[in-house]
Amino acid sequence: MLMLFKYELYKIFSRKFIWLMFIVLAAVNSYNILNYFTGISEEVDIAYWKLYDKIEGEMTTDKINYIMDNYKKHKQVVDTGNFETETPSSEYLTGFVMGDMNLFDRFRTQMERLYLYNNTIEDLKKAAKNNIDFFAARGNRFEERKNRLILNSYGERKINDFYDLSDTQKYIDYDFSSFLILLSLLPGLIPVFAYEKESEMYKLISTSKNGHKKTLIAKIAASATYIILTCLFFFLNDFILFLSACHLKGFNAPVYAMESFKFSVLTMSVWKFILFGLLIKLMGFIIVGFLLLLLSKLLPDSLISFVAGAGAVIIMLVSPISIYNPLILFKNRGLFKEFSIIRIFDIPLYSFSAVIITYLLLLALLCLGIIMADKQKAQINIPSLVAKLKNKRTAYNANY
Amino acid sequence: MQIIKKETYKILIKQKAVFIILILAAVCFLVSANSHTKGYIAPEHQKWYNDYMNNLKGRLTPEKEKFIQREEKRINKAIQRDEKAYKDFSEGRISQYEYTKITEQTAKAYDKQKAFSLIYDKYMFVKESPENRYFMDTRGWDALISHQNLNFYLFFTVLIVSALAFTHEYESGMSTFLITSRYGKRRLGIYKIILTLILTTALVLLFSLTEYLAILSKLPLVFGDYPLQSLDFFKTSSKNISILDCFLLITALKVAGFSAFAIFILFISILSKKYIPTLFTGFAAALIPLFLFPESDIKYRLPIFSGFMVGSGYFIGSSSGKSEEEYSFLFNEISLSELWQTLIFMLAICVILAVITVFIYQVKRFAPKAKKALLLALVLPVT
Repeated sequence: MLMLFKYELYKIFSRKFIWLMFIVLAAVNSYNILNYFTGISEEVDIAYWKLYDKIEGEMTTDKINYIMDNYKKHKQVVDTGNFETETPSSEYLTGFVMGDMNLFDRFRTQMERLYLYNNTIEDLKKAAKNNIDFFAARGNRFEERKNRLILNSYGERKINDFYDLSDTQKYIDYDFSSFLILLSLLPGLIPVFAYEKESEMYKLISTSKNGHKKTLIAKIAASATYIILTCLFFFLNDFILFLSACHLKGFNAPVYAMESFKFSVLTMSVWKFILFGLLIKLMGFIIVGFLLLLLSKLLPDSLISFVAGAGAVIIMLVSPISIYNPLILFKNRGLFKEFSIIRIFDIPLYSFSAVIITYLLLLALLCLGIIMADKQKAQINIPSLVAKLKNKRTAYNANY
Repeated sequence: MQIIKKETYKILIKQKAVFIILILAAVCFLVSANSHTKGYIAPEHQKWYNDYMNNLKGRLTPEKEKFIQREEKRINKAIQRDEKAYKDFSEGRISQYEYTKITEQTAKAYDKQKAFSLIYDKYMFVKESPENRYFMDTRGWDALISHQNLNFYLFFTVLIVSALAFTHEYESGMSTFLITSRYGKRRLGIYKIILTLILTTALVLLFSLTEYLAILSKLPLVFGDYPLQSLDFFKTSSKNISILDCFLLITALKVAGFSAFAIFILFISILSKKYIPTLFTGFAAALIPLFLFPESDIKYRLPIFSGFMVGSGYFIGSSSGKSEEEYSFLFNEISLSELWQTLIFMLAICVILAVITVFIYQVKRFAPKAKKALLLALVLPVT
């Protein structure tokens, strides 16, 4: 069994074309990331990140006072309108008083947001408590449960630490590599069944001792391994490039400390969230990959299988994101940005868990489909269909 | 001639490409006839909209401006009268009968108002630059040319047809036989390239016509002789052409782009001799630039086929703004001379690729090392 798996994996990776493709696509990905971050590092940014290293971490009164005092001091100078704009002086971190004011303002606005966040959550909790009492008195059990869920999700959170998560957020928002992974699944997975059909090798294989079941399982396992390795390759490529190109900070901060995830129901830390997101992405790629496998199993040759697979990928890319589109798993951050639930028998369920459960079921269905297709030897054979129709027609004509 | 006839028969009939072409053309017709939602006008306002457009079509004149202002006043007056009547009625100053009578009179004004607000927006748009922005119903042309999307149906048919030309014979082992035949060595390769180019041109024309007819069946495609700047999408363009000219030029650029794409696929197919690498390389090389630079003008400035396959970008004026995902973008207009340079450069590369393709096809035992070097030399500039 293990030998079969090894041979199937070797079959996929033995083609030089696959290796060439990985190199080219990784180069495209690297170009895209590095291109995105060029021209950002200016004087102000260098000073910002230098100062940031001191401020990062727990927000103590000392730090807050340091930022506020400096901001006020520089703002007073700027407000007088009489300050140096030509020659930089070593007195200021950025060289100019105006630059320093903007620098401290950047810290100030972020800290203010974090400070206000705790108040917002307190208000939210109060409203949820009121709602629970209100709906419990009127016997609306769904709304009561929903508000209890809100209270549970947002109850125990507070931001005490200061981190600049803007670049981390850019890393989470980046999905050009998902497009490249989708592309690279095509040449890897379409040949798994199609090549054997073209060379008519499958007839020979099915007569051998390990013919039917074992070969099939080995093929599915090898394909899954190919998908996982491809994903790992591109995920690592992304991570290393982002790490070198920008400032990924605050992996220990909670998810809701990020500006656009402030109302996320998740309370895990950022690095756990990133891993979780990648895991969902991986599930999405396995689903798309198995869809391609099924196509390659059902359709007669590699040309048609490839065109059908590529067509499916294009349809996914151009149609809007909804639950029916597996792209929702690749852009999964949208699922976690706000409190969103669906109602199943009066029980509120987070919509992201509903999406994940749906797609897990779909994955099981796809696996079953591939196995069934092998058992039935089902294959959409257009010429034979046409021949059948013709026979019926001639039989019909002969009768009348 | 005989060879071309036989080859056409082989690709279209024997390998059933004609079915795929017809199916995709039908899908293209149905989708483009039913998918445009931009500028939708409800059927009950359609009549008023058409009436206004008939009065106003063409260049903005002082009389038309007066007409619009008069109409605005009239509609506002009617609505004010209606609101006043409602107030009077609810406070008991007029009877139910009187109130219904007034609302019957003003109901028309409400219907007109919906259509008029669209006309008024257009008036503001035309007034910004009255010398090259004309009044017209732009919905049809907007659906036809005001976008930067690739026609994926056309893309797939060209991909299939050009992949079939060489690869099918390599996969079935027929190419070894062909090389021993009388014309098999030199002429067949040249004829296959010519045939692919003819087919590609025919396909581009077919799909452009399909799109044109699909939109014509749902929306008006009139006043093609008005300046291009009348369309919102091209409002800042500096090119002095009419709308119909623009459509024809885009089609011409598409012919060039898709021909280059076809030659690229032929070249890859002669190197790889298999379907999957051929199809994948073509697929990825066309799509990656489109997804890499979704809003920017870079894809139109590179001498690659992706920009030409879209075509409309060469006529868009400079603009800047924010995309859906909140990333700012900047589009610099591509001047006519730059367009020529890019086009000629791309076509020159195509000619070189075509010559190499014929050369490899003739000298079948091409040294494997040189082949690898060729492939690398090709893939690097593309990326």
